[in-house]
Amino acid sequence: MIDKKLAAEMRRQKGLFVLTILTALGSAAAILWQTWSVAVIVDGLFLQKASAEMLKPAFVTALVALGVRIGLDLLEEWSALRLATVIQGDLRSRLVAHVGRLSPVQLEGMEKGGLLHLLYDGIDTLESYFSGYLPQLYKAVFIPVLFLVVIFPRDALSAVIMLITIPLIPMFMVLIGKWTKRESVRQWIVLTKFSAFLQDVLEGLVTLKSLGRSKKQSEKIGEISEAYRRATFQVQKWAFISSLALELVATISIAMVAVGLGLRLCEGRLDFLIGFYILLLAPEYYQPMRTLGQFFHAGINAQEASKSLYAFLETPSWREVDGEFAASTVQSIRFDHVCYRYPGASEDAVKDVSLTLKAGQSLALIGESGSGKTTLMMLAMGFLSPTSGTVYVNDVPLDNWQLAAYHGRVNAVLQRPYIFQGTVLENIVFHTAPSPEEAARAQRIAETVGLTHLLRTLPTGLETRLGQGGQKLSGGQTALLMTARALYTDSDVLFLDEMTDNLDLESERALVDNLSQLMQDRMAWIIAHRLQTLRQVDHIYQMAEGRVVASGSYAELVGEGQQMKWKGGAIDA
Amino acid sequence: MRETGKWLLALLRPYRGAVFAGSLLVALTVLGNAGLLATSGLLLSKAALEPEVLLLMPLITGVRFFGIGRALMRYAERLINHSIAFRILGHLRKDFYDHLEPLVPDALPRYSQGKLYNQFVSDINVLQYFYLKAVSVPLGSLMVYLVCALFLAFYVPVLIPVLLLGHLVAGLVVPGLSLSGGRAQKYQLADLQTQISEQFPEYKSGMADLRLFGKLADVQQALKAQVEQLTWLAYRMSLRKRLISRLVFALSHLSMLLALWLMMPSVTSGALPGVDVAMIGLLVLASYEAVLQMPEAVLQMDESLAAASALREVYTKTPYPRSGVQAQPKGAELVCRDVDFHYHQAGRRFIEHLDLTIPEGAHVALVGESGSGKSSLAKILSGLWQIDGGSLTVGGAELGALDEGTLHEMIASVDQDSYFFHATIRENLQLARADATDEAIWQALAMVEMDGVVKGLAQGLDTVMTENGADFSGGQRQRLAIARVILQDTPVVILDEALQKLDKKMAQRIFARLENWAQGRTLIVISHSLLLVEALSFTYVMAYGRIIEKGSRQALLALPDGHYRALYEIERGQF
Repeated sequence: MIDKKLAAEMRRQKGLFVLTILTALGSAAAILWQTWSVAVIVDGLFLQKASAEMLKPAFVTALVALGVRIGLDLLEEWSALRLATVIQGDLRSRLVAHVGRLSPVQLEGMEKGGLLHLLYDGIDTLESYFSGYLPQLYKAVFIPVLFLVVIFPRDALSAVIMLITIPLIPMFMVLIGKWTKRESVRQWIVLTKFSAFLQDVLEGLVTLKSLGRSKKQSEKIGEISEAYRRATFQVQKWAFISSLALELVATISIAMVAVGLGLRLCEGRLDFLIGFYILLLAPEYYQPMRTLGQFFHAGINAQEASKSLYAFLETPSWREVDGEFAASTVQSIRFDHVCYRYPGASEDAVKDVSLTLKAGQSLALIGESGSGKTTLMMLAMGFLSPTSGTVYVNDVPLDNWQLAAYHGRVNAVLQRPYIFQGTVLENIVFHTAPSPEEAARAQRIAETVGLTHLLRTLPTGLETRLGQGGQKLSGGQTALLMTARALYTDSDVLFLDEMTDNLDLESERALVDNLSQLMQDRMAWIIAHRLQTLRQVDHIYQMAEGRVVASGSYAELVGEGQQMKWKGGAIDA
Repeated sequence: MRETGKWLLALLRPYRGAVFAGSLLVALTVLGNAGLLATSGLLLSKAALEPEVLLLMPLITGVRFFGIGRALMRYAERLINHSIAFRILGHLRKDFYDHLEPLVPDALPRYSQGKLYNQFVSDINVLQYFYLKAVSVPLGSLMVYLVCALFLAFYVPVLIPVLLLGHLVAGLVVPGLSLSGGRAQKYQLADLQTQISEQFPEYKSGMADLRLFGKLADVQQALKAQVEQLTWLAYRMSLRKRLISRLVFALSHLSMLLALWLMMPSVTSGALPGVDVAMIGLLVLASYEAVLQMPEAVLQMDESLAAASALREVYTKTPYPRSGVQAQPKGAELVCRDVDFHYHQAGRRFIEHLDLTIPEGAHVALVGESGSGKSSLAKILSGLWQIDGGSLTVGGAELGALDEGTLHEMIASVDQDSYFFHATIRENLQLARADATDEAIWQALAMVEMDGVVKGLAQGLDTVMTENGADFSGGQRQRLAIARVILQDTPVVILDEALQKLDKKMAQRIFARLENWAQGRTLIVISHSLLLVEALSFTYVMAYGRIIEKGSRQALLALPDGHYRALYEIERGQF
């Protein structure tokens, strides 16, 4: 009934929760008070032939009680919603923070829309859990008890009927829920297929059109909609039965109480005032339990959503403890018999790699996709920790480094760059509102890499806004922007994942021209896709199936007279 | 706004009877409860006066009748009203599709990315609740009021206007006032959501950059602040909604107290028997049940109007005009004369003054760097998009004037965005030719080396493809799309980067087979890879929306400072 982890969240906000329950009970007490006044008024009008003057106090009491009741209701809504919102805000913030605790490699493995869905809708479902379902669990117990305590001394028989009938509501809820569940599940499969149909057709409309089949779909949409309606009818026929049962229990119980009261009144065993009072209370008595029924599904949904939420929040980071070592420069990166296996994989993605990159040197990795180039680079950047063997930076194991200190001396041009809402210039400097000196420097660099020239077609040039609602850069423009950013930031090591897709002639040439500048005064670690690049690096490592299968200089590996084994013979060197 | 409202109401017109009946059920449900309480009140009052049980029997029966009737009525109301809502929805879906279909792809340039059409689905789904909440509840409330007013006329007529006022304030004035305040928040929320939807995935996928450039803390802080803002904005909206519903509820009780107050003079004067006081008080209270749902109905009305105005764009647009005189093509020669094309929008031209003749049965390559206009050319040659100037003919007939049937018998095209429907592989392939036999299908699959893959599936051709073929790799989907074009069996075939996602060797093998299959057909291959299409006898080179070089591969390579040569050099340098 109550999810442990969610309950723990609630316990941290105990004050608000207690306030919610107390105001709910207070409101129930106000109902008793207000209802009594109404009963007194009706009794006064009907049997006592009371004058307006005599009934005035009762009216005033009823109004005050109503005011207190509504006031407490509003307070209850406020505190319940606040309780939910504080927890939701906290979970959202934790989710965002946890993303930042995971490595790019871990994050890449996670579904595209999954986390965003969790951030919005997943945590959204918790609103009705914390502000509805959870307080209602308590209200559904305490409020009827309070009512029974008041009713029992006045009319024990009614209290007994009420006591006996109320457990029927949760009982029916569970029993019928089980009974209808299998039927519903079966039908839901049909339903989801139908409901996705229109979306499917619209998404593929251009394809349908190009195949000349789009007109035909119209009738099919009509047919499927009708079938959908009939199937939904079948599902709902069952689904609504559980609410019918709950409704029946409540209304029949009220009717039973009413008839019983009538008969006892008739026999003169009861006062009209008391009888009418209990009649007025009867619907209020069953209400909390019925409301719980309405929240029941919300409760289940939230518990489902919280499972994937906590699964994510509890994903361990690849680097639970940061190292302590720091140095002001990076002078070497050395792989010593490094192996890496992805969690759950049956084979190592990197097998026994040893290599060294020294100050002033550069290396290039080549090999088919899936050969382990990217994994190797992620290990070098510290975004993965070797399963065995060690990555040394300045002869200190990278695991012992403060990762931020290492990253402070490293920068990169990667396939998935971070581009934020701001101008091109701001994206070079990598923060908003750069100082005049920073802007001038960024401008010079943009000029040298040829970005300024490439953006000449845009009316605002380097001041063009990127990101949401802004300009979308082409592949070539993005690559040059990333080059400019890497040059702008001082560093000892450059990691470069060469881009070849969707480039135009101009940016292609600019990228090739910029490489030597990028490599100047820096160690360079490049995943290469160009012969031109291979000519400029000191060392080439060819990878296949996670191993380094060949290494050497350009002259040794690719140059004159050397057969390029790794190319599949597609292009001759 | 008014037009949109009219459009929405017109949607209900064919279902007038059902809408009336459905709303009546809403009213009867509420009246069932009112009946239960009022009869109980009367029963107790009578019992207090009447010592004879027998005389109470009709009332006791009435209490039981309303008790059971109310529950059953509610069940019927929900079931039938949902059914009506789906009937209306079904009609809307078909009607909307009939209006949208002729506009695709080029009369709604905003949605030029095919998958954007599905955003209409959510608008249509919003309208599912239009009848259910925004129509049946107000109509039902009105009916409840009328019945209560009729009833009160026999007892205390003075309560008729009082009840009307109460229902109006609680049902329309209060929710309406809250709506106008809530709208600004709604837009603010949507705005925040768009921002976060864009920035969060960027934050997630740009993590390496953020760490390496030391920006993680800053960006995380900013994102957290936005998320916090979103959470508390949602809180304020939700709180407003809840407070409103509590206030409306308070009004119902206030209304009962007022009714009791106003009944006093009639009771004292003897015009109203005291025995009826309880009944009337309870009736007034219970009459508010439907009104209590009005805040939600008003919100739903607002949402429905917003959704409807998005859909109405499709109803107000007319298809982009088809140009030229309708004629039957003779042969399959494709001729472009002075063609302009800019996706029907002002500003940049994607194709300018283009002249091109592709003889029947020719196999030609169309190459160029990204942004050169080659994909735009593919779009107009396939006949899907109308040109914005000049003339484009196939076999002497204007392409834009061909009826769709003829067009699809003439030209088949495939690009990188082929879609696969939630249906079997066979059904997806038969979209190209409904009467394609299994034999023909297997043949086409063999050409694209997919026969092995499909045979390997437990269900073979009957395997259901889900989520645009998500169970298949990008390369496999691409090959299935090519198989579809093979089955279409047309004299002109256009491949727009269709072999892009395949590995080079397989692409070359499949391409060789396609070339062989296309003997006697016109084959136009758009590719940014020169290597793949170097076997084709003739190549056009595009740049800046024009054809700047053409000829055989050798001739193009021989051009000094040629564009083709430059592209060739670059491709040669990459691996």
